[in-house]
Amino acid sequence: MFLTKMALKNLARNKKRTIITALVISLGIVIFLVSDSLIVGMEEISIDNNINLLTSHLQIMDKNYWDNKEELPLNNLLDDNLLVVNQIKEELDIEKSTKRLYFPANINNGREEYPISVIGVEVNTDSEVFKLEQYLLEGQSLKNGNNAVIGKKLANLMGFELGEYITLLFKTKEGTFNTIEAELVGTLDTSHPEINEYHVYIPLQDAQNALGLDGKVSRYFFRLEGKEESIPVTNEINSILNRKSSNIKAYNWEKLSEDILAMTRQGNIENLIMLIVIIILAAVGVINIVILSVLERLEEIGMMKALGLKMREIVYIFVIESAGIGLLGSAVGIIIGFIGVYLLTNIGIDVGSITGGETTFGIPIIDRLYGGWRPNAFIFIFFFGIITSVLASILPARWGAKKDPVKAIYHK
Amino acid sequence: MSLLKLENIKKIYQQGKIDVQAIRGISLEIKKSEFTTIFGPSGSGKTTLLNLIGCLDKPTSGEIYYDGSKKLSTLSKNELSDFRRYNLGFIFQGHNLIPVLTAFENVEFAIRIINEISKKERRKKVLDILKSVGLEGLEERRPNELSGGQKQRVAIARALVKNPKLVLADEPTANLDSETSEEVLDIMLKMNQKLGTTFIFSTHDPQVMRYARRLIEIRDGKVTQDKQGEDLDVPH
Repeated sequence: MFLTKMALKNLARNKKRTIITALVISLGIVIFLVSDSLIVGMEEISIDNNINLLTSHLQIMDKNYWDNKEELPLNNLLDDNLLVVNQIKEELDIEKSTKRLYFPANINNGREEYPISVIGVEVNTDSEVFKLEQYLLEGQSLKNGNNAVIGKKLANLMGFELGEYITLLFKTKEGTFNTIEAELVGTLDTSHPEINEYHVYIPLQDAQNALGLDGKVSRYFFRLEGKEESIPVTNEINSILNRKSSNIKAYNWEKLSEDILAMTRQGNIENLIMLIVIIILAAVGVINIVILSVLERLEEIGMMKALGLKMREIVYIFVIESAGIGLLGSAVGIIIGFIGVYLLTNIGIDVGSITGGETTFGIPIIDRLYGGWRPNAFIFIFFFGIITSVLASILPARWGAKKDPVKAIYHK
Repeated sequence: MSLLKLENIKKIYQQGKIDVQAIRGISLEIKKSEFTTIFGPSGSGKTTLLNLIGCLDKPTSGEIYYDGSKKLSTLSKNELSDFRRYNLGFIFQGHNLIPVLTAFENVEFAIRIINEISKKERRKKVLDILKSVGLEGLEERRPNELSGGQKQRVAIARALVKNPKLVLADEPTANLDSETSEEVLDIMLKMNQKLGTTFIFSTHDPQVMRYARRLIEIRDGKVTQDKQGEDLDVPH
């Protein structure tokens, strides 16, 4: 206890040095916390956007369709009145579901073409599952009949105005070319760049008719109470489907958002690099301060040895001093980090104004980016700062404690 | 009764490729409660001898016996630390106080690391020893708030507070003026007489030698004189 008290008093010996070293640790901690918050925020917003605009909470589709789903194939489709879907909704008490038919096409404005994805949506039920209507910039939502809704960016790119007719050129399942002429009734400005630039929404029946695929859809979509329910519900649906020896399978949003989750993992790797930077910053600061302290206090070390202090007790004094610096740095870092994360979660960063809406670094966010809270990160980094300081101090402290007492006392 | 017995102690330092013989075969005995002065010119080996007696350094050859039978060369580093902790007190030329601790805490340090007595007893002991070295009322001052003589008194109190059997003082008055030196030596002599503590201190100051009850002269690492009682012939 006495040695601990003495070690903590030593922190005030060279206040400037203690504060600077602690601030270096604080800086590292703030960078880590802000970066972690951004990653959490990006992950949350990306996933929510993906669920609300692209994947829904879960989908069912043919297992063979799943394998090629990126190509939007026209085979391995499902009937649009599958009995099992009604059974699933009844058994699992799911109210909101819809169905879509996807196919690749080129959009044409009479001068040029642009490859896009056409999505035939069930007009009456789509808005129960997807939140596209919230992002309607101009015009109105899709209605039954010969009409289409497209993204703002695509409309600008092709020079389409509301009320004009867009032309979609595509191949049917049999390989013959066909076209759809549809009146542009609305444009979307979503937070998902893929929708803004590559998606054309038309009524499901129009899509089925033009493709010669009456009664067929690519996938069914379900909205649950919350995304955390998706795993158990998906398992239950799959057990229902398995009982029927069906070739249909349910996939939850996690499975459907693998690319985003992969980006999150990449973000976590970046945070790991940040951690390594913090280790280096803290370790260099602490090693430096302990070496300087040892050199300044050689006579004291000699005296303490003469009084009978053992090597481990002298090491203990320096380690406790370093722990004090780590504690100070971590505490300040946590406080500043807390403020930073609070601002990020409440005010956010206007990514759109930074990027001009042109790029989102591969992440489906184009407006404001908000941070997220991860309390565990605060707890982890607080102790991490202290432990790093302690570990970094051990070797230089041992170096000091090993000094020959005679040489230390007489400063030889 | 013998407290210390040195048998043919030699200490050779290496300076580059040259061997320097700091102590060249010293044998002597120190009895309990002796007040011994080791004197000699600079570089004669006084400090080296004190460091060897204080187990801060190890002899190249020879043996030191403590309290009749304990062979100090057989002790490990940790055992030597314990030996110093419980049996020895040190007073250095530069007092070597810890600047962040008060006078009270600097003295308390020596018994806190022994941890054998209660807080109340410890406090009483520290206050008593500070009073006996004339520092009553200055207990809460830090070293930078004390004069050179007061600092050295704190160092004496620190060396004595644990009632060691032996106190080693290396030129304890070297940085003090003559008046303060006499005060410090008076205190040491008083403690020797009051507590029966054995004192060995080194000096080259004739004024200090006047206090000696036994005088050992060292030149070139050898004992050239060892006088006590009526034989004492203090050089001036």
